Amino acid sequence: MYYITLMTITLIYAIAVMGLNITMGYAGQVNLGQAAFLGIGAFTSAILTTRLGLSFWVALPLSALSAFLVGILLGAISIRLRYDFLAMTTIGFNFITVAIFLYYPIFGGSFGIVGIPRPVLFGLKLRGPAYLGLVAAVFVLCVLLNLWLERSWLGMAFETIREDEHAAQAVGVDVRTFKILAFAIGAGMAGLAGSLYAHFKMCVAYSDFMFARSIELLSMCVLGGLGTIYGPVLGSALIILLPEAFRPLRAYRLIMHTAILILLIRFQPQGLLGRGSFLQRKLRELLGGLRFGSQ
Amino acid sequence: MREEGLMELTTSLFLQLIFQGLIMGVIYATIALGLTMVYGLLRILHIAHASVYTWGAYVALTVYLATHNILLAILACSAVCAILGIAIERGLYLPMLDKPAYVPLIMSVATYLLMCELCANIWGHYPLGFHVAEMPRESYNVGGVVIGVHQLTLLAIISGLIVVLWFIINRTKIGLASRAVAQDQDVAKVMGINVRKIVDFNFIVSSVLAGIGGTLVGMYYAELKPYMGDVVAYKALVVIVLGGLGSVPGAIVGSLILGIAETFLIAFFGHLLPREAFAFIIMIVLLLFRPQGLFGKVE
Amino acid sequence: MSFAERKWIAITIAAIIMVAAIVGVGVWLLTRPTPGPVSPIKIGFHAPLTGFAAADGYSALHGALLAVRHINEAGGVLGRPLQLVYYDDKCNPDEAVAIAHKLIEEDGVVAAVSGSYSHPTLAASSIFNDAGVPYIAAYAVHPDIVKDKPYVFRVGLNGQCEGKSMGYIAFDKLGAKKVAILCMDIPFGITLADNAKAYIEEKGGEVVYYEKYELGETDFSAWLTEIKSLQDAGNLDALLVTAYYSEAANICKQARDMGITVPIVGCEGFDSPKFIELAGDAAEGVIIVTDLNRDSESELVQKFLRDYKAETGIPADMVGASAYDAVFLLAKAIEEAGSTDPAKICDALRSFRDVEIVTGTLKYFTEQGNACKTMVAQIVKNGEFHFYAEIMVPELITPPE
Repeated sequence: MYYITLMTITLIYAIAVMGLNITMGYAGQVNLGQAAFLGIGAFTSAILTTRLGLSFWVALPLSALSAFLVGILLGAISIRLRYDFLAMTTIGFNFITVAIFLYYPIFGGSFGIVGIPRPVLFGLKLRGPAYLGLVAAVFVLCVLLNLWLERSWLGMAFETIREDEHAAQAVGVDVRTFKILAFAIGAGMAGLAGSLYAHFKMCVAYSDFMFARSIELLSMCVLGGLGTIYGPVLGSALIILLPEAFRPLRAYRLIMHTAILILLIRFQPQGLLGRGSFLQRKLRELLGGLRFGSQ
Repeated sequence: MREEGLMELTTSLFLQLIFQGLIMGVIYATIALGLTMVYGLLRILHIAHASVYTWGAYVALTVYLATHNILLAILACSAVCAILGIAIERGLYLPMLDKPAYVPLIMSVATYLLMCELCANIWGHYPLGFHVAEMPRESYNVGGVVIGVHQLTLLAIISGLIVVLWFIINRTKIGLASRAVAQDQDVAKVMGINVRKIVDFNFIVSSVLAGIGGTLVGMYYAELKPYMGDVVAYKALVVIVLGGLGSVPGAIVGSLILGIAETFLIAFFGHLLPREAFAFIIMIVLLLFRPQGLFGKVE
Repeated sequence: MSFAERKWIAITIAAIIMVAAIVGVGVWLLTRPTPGPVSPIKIGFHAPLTGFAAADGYSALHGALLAVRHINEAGGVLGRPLQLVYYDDKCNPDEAVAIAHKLIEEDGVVAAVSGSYSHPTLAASSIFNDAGVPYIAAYAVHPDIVKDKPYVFRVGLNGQCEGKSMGYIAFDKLGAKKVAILCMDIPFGITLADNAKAYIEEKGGEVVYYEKYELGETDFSAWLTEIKSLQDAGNLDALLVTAYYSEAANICKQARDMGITVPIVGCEGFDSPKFIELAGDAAEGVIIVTDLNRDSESELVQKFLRDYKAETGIPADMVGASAYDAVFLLAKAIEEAGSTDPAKICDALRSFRDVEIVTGTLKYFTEQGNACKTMVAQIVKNGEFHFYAEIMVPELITPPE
């Protein structure tokens, strides 16, 4: 039964990482503060259900919305910033958000918000396998959204911006709007994940969304392969499940995340199965015509 | 959340806050200087610098506990930091110079976190006491301002080191060469400057400064924690943006300004936002409206 | 939907199934079914065994293990041996939640005990309550741990009761009319301090000084200077401090160094051999409100103290004793319920009246699951904790809910 818990956590993270993947992998905008959006979604859902007594089904979309709106803000800020400045800004954004979570009493101070209720569907409390079903449903929705995005004008615009921003501007792509959208969509997905996270853990606090968590999400994104559909869930599954399979790893989670990041970025920045990576090429040879990544 | 009535700004309070701010400022400077120097040369945000700071302090503590000789400890610390700096430069940054800009940045951040975790695993997660017999801790009340001898010591030593650094940068040949490389690497190469050696030299100097800085800070607070670099690591980003990326005088001035501004803001507006938030908001505003900071170049 | 898109969805779903299969097989391989003619009753346990809180985690674990040993030596529970399934939560709420899931779903525990601090316990308590598994917090203090959770109980002292008792010790026992309070800036510390203040003022005393400090602070000279000047002006009879052992040791040391001679009254956070070790001579004469009476005449307490010292080499403290009691009470509840049914266990716990445990006498569990129990004040003499006074007055020991 325990693997149901593991699967649930894996998929929740995968949703957040999919958001990060859209911002970084597709649109090429570096975001080192994704955990902040996870937190915004989580706290929105927690506050709406515990303090205002709203139903989970109302809180879930509102969490995505609140994160989406803050994502617009960050996106707007990002327009004039180039790479390293943008990275610094997203780090700063993470710190500021967490500081706000800790400082204002509405977020529950250092212990955060407790007693977050489970969602109720047709009178049934969703826990265990039922909750996994809910998370899986949201996950599949996000995958479909991601698929659509990849093949839509939005996805193409993102790609052109990623490859060469100035050229994109020259061709008439409104770089500003799309940058904002890249952040907003990525944030919105993280907001969804945040709500699911809050109702799974039943308590959230500022310490759940600190910079180290952004690094964790980033390592999942990079591991699985930036800019691919299956990358997020693969990266998420590996990073969460490896310590379960190999007990010695459990004590050294952060070391594992950072070491993986360093090694991957150094030798295989596209991720294990990203475009042009070693594994992908081998698999492609093996499987003949099947294409694993959009060209 | 804290409730603070607005305090009266007496002269002694003002001076006290300035003094506290100067102390925070020089502490930030120990990291910010290295950060700005590396950025000037390699255009990389060397956040891993803070792990050199932390490891320097831990190495110094270890040597001190074994030998009870603080000078030996500082020497050992300097040596180890120099090696660490070179290792990071050669092993992590140089191979990544042609990759997109976020690659070395992510590596640097990951390296910082990794080194802190290793530190915690080797020396323990809990604070370690760092009591140095030679560090006197008396305080004197000078006209309403409480000044500690250990505070003056810290100020004096770090300021001294900064002066030495400034001297090196501005009055020696190797300093001149460094500035040339920072300005334009290709031209410098054409002029016959061995860029590799210059980068090595800069890393060594800034790493040693960071290590000694970390040691002094550890002695000042009389304790070391594996994540002691957190306070300075991310704040240093703010400092170098404020001072101007790549500018050494900018880093010095920026550190002092941030230290003092932060102290005043916390004292009077501490009830609005937590300490961390102030610095980063300042940074983001600067990045948006005046990214060259005080002394940087407009790119 | 084009072929390409269908293929994509198929691949994604295949990936998920693949991942689930890998996990499922892996976990199934790792889970060992428990063989044996009489299967043990498993009790879950988590504590910070590594990290900054490791000293307390170690204490709690050994207290719990000792309880299991004693119970099994006496024949076990319902004729079956008791088994403690424990994990290290690193004092981290995320770890605690993961451990809670593991204990419930993988290890199949009948009930669980928290040997950890408030934040991890708080996080795990929601999980245990939601799953309907009885959960007792040994010494974590946050009131939300038990709030509106029928399956969760706390065996530790209640913050308001403890605070009032600190006031009682200062005012009634020490005769202090003017009191200074130095308080750690966390909810627990503030609750203690506020209640001590309210008690003293109600009785006609005066709180002449009340300041808070951050956890982790090492330099208390600023506050102690002001306290000393109060003492020198004849305006101070006692100093009340809420702290954990590390800050407590620093405060006592620095206070005595500075020439502060008034009696110091502390809270359960002082109750640790580490406090005495770090404070050295400065610990002499410090009085604390806690629930472990080293001089108790109860055979149960003395046996615990003896065996704990024999097994670990260090003297027992409140944390270890609380963990012992939590396990002890769970075992007793299972025995009285006659089954491992969670609802029956909780009913049994609620039915307890005046049960003698290591940390005093448990009068009863309140509606919310807090413990109403006697307290005791201990004084440090010759580097050891000894009996100072007993606190049994109903107004002081009854938790508000």
